[in-house]
Amino acid sequence: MKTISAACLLTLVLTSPLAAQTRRPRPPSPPPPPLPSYPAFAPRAFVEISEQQFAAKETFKSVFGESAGPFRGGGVDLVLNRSLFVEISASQYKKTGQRLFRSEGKDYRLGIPLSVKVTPIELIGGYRLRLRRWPRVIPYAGIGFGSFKYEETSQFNTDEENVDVKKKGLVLVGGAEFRVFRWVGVSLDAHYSHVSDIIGIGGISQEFKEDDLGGTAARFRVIIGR
Amino acid sequence: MTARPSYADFDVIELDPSENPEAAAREFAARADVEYAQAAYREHAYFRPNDPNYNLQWNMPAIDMERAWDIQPGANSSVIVAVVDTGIAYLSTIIRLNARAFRLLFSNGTTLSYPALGLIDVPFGAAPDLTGPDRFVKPHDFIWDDETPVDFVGHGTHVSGTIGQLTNNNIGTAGIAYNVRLMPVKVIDDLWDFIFGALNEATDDIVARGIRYAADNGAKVINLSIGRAGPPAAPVVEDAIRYAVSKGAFVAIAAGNDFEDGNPLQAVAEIASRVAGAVSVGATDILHNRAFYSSTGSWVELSAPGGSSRGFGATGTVYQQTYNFNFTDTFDPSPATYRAPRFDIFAIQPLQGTSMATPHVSGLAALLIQQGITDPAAIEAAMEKFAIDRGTPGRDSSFGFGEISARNTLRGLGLSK
Repeated sequence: MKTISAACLLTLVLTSPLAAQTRRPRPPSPPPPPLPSYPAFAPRAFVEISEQQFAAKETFKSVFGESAGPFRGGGVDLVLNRSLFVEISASQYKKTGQRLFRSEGKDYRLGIPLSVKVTPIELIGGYRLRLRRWPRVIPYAGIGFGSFKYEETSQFNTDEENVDVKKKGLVLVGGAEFRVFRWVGVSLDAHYSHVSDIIGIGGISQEFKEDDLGGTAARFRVIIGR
Repeated sequence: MTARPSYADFDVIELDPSENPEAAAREFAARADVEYAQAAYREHAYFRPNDPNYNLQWNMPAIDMERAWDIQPGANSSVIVAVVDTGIAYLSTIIRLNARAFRLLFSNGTTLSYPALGLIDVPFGAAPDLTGPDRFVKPHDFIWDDETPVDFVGHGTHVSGTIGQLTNNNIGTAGIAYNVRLMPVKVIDDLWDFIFGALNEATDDIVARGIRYAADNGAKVINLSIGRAGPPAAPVVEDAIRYAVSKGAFVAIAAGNDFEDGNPLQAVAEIASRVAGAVSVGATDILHNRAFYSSTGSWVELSAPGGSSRGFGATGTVYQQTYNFNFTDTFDPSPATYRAPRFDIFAIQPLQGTSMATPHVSGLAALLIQQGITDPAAIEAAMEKFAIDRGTPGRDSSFGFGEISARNTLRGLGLSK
């Protein structure tokens, strides 16, 4: 690049010694490259991992010692006419903590294992932007809903004391996809979910008055497909 | 597949945690070379003590004790429960005592005179279903000012049984926290203490000293199946209770048995309602109703089985091992049969009272400490939170927050339930 710049400068100097007072019109910048061709109907598959900060921070911190945790999963999406997308995904969070009692702001962990599984199945639709200058980068945003299956078991529980429920919740997502190869992309996005009526009606979540099983997550995906 | 374990005619297959064990078992079971396949579910003990008189102890299932023992089987010897009471039958010995002449005055005006027996060798025994190696710690007697707080009446021994009777040993009855160590602290005198010329009586200052002694010598739970009507108040006892709680000891206090005697304020129990970490305990009967004698008032915080013979006979009372009263109450029925007592013959005895209710709470407190709830105020809060509401909905003057539920309290809270 330096060589080319130097060569251009040298050319200008050599060809206009007597015409310094004149201005030459600047040549028009070249048009952006055309977007690569894209099918009108592009099915794809992906695997994902996310780290979610649960909205019920105090609840999760008390039971598991941390208020965030990983979801792992995958799904398929369909890109329509390059710009619209619809996706369905399933993921799961699994963690074992302890039952506890809380008094005067202090947690007393009771040594009784408590296992939780959160399994969201999400259906999201949204819009993908195409940036002509950065054709490999595809910002997107979407909205949808999830069916959240929540399972909670503890040692010494009877069947009635275990929890196995499903509720629907709102899901919002926004981020960007980066096309690594023609058939492979990765994406990083922020994911928000809100799920009520599962926690907050009993247990330690009720003590904390935390009733949202959702949260905010950073998701990373590897996408196979165009 | 891992190597075949010992004592097994089956193989164990480890699955990835993400796999469904039931589905995997079905797949294996379908194979021709597999006789059967099953998922390996976690099992646990359904503990029901084998003590032969356990069938008399309705009070244990009444607070869901069997399932509670599955969670916390009896605590361990690191937990010391002080029984601040009439002493405990913890020692096998013979003590030479001077039995003075005395008179009994009855409410109907009758007086019975009993002769002096002079110096007699009185045998004492350690309650066989209570005694084990290193079971008793730091005994002290504030009535006699010595280190041998033997029980002259059997009350403290009975109370101790509910707290920590040896359990699942094919003897007698069961206790709640059957592995704890017991601290006998004698602060209550009775007739034989008087006959034998005890130095002190069960005054407020003696009780206060007993409570402080227990706290200073490592008790994590102090059982006070004792009390008195008031006013006047007992600030010396209140200070002692606050001191004990500040040292990390949970205190359970009997709410009183005077409901049918004018239901007066209970000066010691009332203190508990003002101290987080001390609770006053009313009594319930076999049907979870308030026992007929159990004092009521705003100071009652919890209730537990104290038993009631009214309507139920002895079946409705609380059974534990203590003295065979035929050999201790030798002044009964009259001076004609009066003879030297002996305190080494035991029986499973039915008693009732808030004295019997209180050790249920103390025993549960010991289990909670073992389970991880160590702060006295938190122990009280846990018991109150998980108590089963009885009587009028919400806290009331008969049951307080309700009847204790051992299993629910030990289980604590899940995430959503």
